[in-house]
Amino acid sequence: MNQFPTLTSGVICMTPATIGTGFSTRVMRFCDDTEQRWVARGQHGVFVLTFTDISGIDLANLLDFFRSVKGRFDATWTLAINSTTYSNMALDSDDFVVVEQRPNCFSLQVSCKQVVDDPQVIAGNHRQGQSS
Amino acid sequence: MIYYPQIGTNGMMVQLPFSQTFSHLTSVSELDSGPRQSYAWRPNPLKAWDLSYAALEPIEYETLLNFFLGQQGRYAEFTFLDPGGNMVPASENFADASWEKDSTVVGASVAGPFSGSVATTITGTTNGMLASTVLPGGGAIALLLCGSVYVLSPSAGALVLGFIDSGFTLLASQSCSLPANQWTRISFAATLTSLLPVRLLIGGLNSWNGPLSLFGAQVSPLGAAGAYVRTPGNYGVHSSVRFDTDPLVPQYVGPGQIALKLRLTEHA
Repeated sequence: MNQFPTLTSGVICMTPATIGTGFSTRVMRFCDDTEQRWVARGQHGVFVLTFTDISGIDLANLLDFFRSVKGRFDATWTLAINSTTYSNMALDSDDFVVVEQRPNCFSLQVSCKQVVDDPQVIAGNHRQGQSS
Repeated sequence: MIYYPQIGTNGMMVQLPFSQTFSHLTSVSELDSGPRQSYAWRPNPLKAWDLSYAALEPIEYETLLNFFLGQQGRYAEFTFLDPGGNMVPASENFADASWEKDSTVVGASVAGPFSGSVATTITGTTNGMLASTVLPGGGAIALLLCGSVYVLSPSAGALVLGFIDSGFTLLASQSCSLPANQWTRISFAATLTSLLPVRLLIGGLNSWNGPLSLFGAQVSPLGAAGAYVRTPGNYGVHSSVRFDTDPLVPQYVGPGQIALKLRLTEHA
């Protein structure tokens, strides 16, 4: 099972980082203005990890991870952040976009989420700060 | 072989900010009942590049314009030597078959120059060498390439970096000084012309008498080494690339200054 890599500095990501929670509710609205709702998926973690001006070796580690999980394909990897390990993670996108703003300084964002319900996710857990 | 042009005397191909996109292609079905099914269509991601030229000189723009006209916009295919990639096929695995070894033995793994990285001990006789093909299609015409490698030597010495063609003709070389017991990235840039495939040469020419530790061999189409890029994860030779636009729309931003944005896409 893959694990999201840490940077050479030892942290998972930089600020700002989004560590959120989400649900997946289906809504069917009918012609007579009535509706039916049901829970497709319960509480799960939603994450946006930011990397600003990281080095080539850190980028190489992240890129190796992206290639190993094949974008959105793999939904079995784990993310260890703030002393909590989130399992059954999947990337939100098949695209891995890297911008070199200054020589040898790379910036990118990684959006990912849990694909199974996880009761350890605390509602409203939205944190900004260096995450490790 | 048609290469995307280097448009400056320093090998400039892109300006900052330089954006690269690695794209997988996945079909995903998330069923309401919970299960998730996914299928990966590509074994490896394809790349796209957003090239943003903030200030080109007219002669540089003309070089790009002529190349664009030659490709007829999105129509024709060319090879892009990726400034954000590494033209060495296996940058950290010197035991890989892509490395030709002569009087050289690839030994044990040792700690590399970066946290968590793994380097390789190389032993060899005085004239031992390693060579890896970096331009398999050949056809270099005044092409500026920069080779580099991280080296740890137990004693002060020197190591040759160079470029040879597939016929072992020495195209260019430089003896690089090595300090004792300190990871050092040595690099060497040269403008090459050869119709044959080009290879990076490490060692040889009576330059060293091991053992040495090596990590991260790299060749970039630049005048300097640039950020280290690992392969096979981010290979730098892309032979199936096209422009992603039919109109070329320059913006004249000042006297003798032209801004231009281009997107290149790789195809399977």
